[in-house]
Amino acid sequence: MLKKLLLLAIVIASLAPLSAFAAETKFQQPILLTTAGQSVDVKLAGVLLDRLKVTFTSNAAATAADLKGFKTLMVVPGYSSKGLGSAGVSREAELTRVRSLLAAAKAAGIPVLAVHLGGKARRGVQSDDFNKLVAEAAATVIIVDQGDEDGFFTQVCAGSMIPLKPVKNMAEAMKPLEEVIAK
Amino acid sequence: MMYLSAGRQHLLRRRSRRTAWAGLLLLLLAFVWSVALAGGTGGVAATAHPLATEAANEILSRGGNAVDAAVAAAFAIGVVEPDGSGIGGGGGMLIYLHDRRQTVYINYYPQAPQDPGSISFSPTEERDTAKSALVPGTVAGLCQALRDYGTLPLPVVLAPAIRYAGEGFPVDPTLAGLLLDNMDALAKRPPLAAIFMNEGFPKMEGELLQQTDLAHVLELVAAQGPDGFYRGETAERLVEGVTAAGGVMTLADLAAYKPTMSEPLRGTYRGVEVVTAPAPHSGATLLEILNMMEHVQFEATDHFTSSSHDVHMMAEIFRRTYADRSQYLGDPRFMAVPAGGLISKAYAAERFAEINPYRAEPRLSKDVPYGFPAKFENRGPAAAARSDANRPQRLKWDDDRDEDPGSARQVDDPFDRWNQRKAGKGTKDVSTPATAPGTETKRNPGEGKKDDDFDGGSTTHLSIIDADSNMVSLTQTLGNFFGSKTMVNGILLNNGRVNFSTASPSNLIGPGKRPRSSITPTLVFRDGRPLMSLGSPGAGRIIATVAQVMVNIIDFGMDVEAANEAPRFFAQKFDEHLFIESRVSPAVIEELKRQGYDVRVLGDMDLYFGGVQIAAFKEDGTGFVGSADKRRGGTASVLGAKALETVPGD
Repeated sequence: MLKKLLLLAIVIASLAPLSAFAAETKFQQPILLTTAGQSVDVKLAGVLLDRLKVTFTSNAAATAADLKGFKTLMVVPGYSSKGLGSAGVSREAELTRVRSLLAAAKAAGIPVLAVHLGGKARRGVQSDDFNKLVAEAAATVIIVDQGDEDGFFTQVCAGSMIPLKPVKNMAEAMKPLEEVIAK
Repeated sequence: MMYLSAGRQHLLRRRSRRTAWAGLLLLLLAFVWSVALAGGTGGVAATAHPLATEAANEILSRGGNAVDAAVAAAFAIGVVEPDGSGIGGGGGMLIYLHDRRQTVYINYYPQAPQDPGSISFSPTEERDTAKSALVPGTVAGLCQALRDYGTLPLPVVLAPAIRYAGEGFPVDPTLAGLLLDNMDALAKRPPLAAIFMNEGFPKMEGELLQQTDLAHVLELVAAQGPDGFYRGETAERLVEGVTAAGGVMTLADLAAYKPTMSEPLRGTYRGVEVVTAPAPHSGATLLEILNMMEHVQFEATDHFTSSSHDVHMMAEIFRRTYADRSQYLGDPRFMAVPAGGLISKAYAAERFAEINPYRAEPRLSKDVPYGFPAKFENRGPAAAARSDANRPQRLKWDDDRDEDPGSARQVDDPFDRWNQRKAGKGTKDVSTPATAPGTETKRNPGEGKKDDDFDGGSTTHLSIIDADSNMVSLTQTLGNFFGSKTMVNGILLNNGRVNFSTASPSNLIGPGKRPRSSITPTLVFRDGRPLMSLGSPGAGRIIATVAQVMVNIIDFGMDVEAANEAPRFFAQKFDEHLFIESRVSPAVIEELKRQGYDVRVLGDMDLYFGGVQIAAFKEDGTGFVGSADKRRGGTASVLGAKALETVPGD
C-alpha cells in the first residue's frame, strides 16, 4: 500500500511541472489590447507594453471584427462607472461586447491574456463579473496580488488550470509580460 | 503576619493606614480630574477619512472644542484626501456656540482676483489648468475660525496635518480608485505624478503618500498664521507658479483675501429649526426645498423611494428649487439676493401649487420656470399681490452649465455626452490609446474631449459636536477632483473659476467676487436644543442629498445610520435625467418613466449622490451618534471620557 502511494506521489510530482509547462502559452504579436469594464487600467497596460516595445493596438471598444490580423487578445478587466459613462455604454452592453469578443477570439484560436492591474479598486460586485468572464477565457492571468487577496482569481484559475502570475505592483507586471509574450 | 513582632506589626499598620489615605487622596484627585475632563472632552466627529476623524479626536481628547477639532480635521483632510479639498481651495463653516446660543457662518470660498478679465477663460476647455484657479481661502477661513471661536493654539491643531503630510500615510481605497481614474491627468503633470504615482503608475491602496512641500507650507502657517500662506515665500511662489502657467493671481490678491462672516439662514421643517449656509452657498435652496416638502403627504411606506408618487413630488420640487437657485443665488456683496423670499413659507406654497401631482410637467427640465420670490421679501400678502402685476420678465437661457462644480460638467458629464451622442451631436469615443506617463494623451480624431469627467463626489464634508454641545458643520472643496490639477509648491489649487456662470447674471465673475456654490453645511435644532450637524460633498447633488437625509430622519423616523444608507435620487433643472440608485424597485422606476422622467439607474450605493457626514445627539440626550456615508470612505467616531467607539464608513 505504502509503495503504491509513493508511486502515485512520484507520478503526480512528475506530471505537475509538465502540466504547468503545457499550460504556459507564448503570446504572439501583434496584440489587440482592450478593456472589460472600461476602466482606465487599460492605459496602464498600454504603458507596460510600450516599455516592452511590444507591437499592439489599443481599442477600448474592440469587437469580433477588430480581431482580424491579431495573434493575441489582451484584456484588462475592471469596472469603471466613469469609464462606461465616458464611453457612453451601459454595464450590460459592455458585458455583452466582452462576451462576444472572447467567444470570437476562442473561435478564431486567438489566445487571451488577462491582466488585472487595478488591485482592490477593481474588485467587488461591479467588477467581478468582468473579472470572472475574462479570467475564465484566458490562457494566462497576470494580476497585481492585491486584487487576489481573497483568492478570487486563484479559485477561478485553479478550476480551469489557468496559469496565474501574481505580482506586487503594476510596474512589476512587466516581468511576467516579458516572459509570456513572444519576441 | 502572625510571626511578626508587635512593633513590626504596628509599623505595618501605620504604613497600611498611610497607603489607604494616599489611595483615597489619589481617588479623590482622579474623581475631580475626571469631572473636569468630562466637561472638556468627548464628542462626535464624522469625516470622510479615518485620519481626519482621528485628528478631530486627538484635539477633542486634549480638551479642544468643536471648532478646534473641526479646524484640525479640515487641515488634516486636505492632506489625506487631497483630491477633495486642501489649502489651495476653500469652503464654508457653520459654527454653533452653545454657551452663547450663537451661530455664525464663515465663507472662505475661493475668490476671484482683482483683474479676472486679464486672461481669457473657457470653463469647458480650461478647467484643468491654472487659469481656473481662484484665490484660495482655506487657510484664512480656518485660522479665523480658530482665532475667534477656538481655544487651542494654531500649531497644536495643525500638528496632525503636518504629521500626515510630512511622514506620509497609506493610500486608502477611495483615493486609490480616484488615482486610477484620474491617472491620465496626473501623469501629464510632473508635480502631481511625483506625489501620486510610483514608477509611472498610480499609487495603490496601502502605498505611502508623502507631501513634504505641503508639510513645509503647513509648518509656515503654524508658525506665522495666515501670513505663512498669504504673504512671503508661499505667496510669492504661488503667484509665480500660477502666472507662469497662464493663470491670474497677484500678491495683492492673496494679501487681500479675507473670509466673510455672516448670519446663517434660518428656517423650519415640520417643527425642527434648520440653520444653514447663506448665499452664495446653497442653504436658501435647502430651505426652499424643505418648505415645499412640508406640503408633500408622504405615502405610508418605509421610505419615499418605495413610492413613485413621493419621488415624483420631490423631483418636481428639486427641479423648481434648482431653477430658482440658478436665477437668484450669487455673492450678496455684489448683488441683492432675495433670500427672504426664497425661504418664505408663502413662496414655497405658491411654488408647490405649480406641481402636477401625476406627471413631470413641464416634461423637459430645461423648461421648468423659476419663480418670483422677491414679492415675498419682507412684505405682507397685500404687497405681494400688488407686486404680482410687476413681475420681471423671465429671461431665457438653457446653458447655465457652469453654475457649480457639478453642472460645470454638464457638457463634459458622461451622461450629458451620452445624450449628445443619442442626438447625433457628439462623436463616439471608440479607442483609448496607450500613453506613456509624462506625455500628452494622443487622441484619435473625433475622440471625446475629455475622459476624466465623472467627478461624482468632489468636495468633502465634516461634522463635529463637542461635549459642551458646540457644533460645527464644514464643507470645503477644490472644485472638481484634484481641482485645477495645478500644483505649486505642494499646494493643489482649486478650479473655482468654473463655478462662475457665463450665462446666469447672478453669478458672473467680477473682481474680488466669490462664485455660487452648492455647499450646504447645516445644523438642526429641536425645541431650541442642538440636534444634529450634517452636510455633504457631491457638487450639484449636495442640496438634494442633504434634504433627503433630513426627510429620512424627520419624516421617516430613521436613525442617522439608516438615514445615511437609504437609497437616493436626484433631479434638477439643468439635467434631463432623473438619477436613482439601483436599490429602488424596478416597479417604482417604471412608474417614474411612465410619469415622464428619463431615468438613469446608477449603482446601489453610488458616490454620485454625495458622502453625508452626520454628527448628532441621541434622541434621549444621553450621548452622541455619528454616521459616515458608506458611499465614500470615512469614519464617524463617538469620543467619550472613557471609551472611543469608531464606526467605519465603507
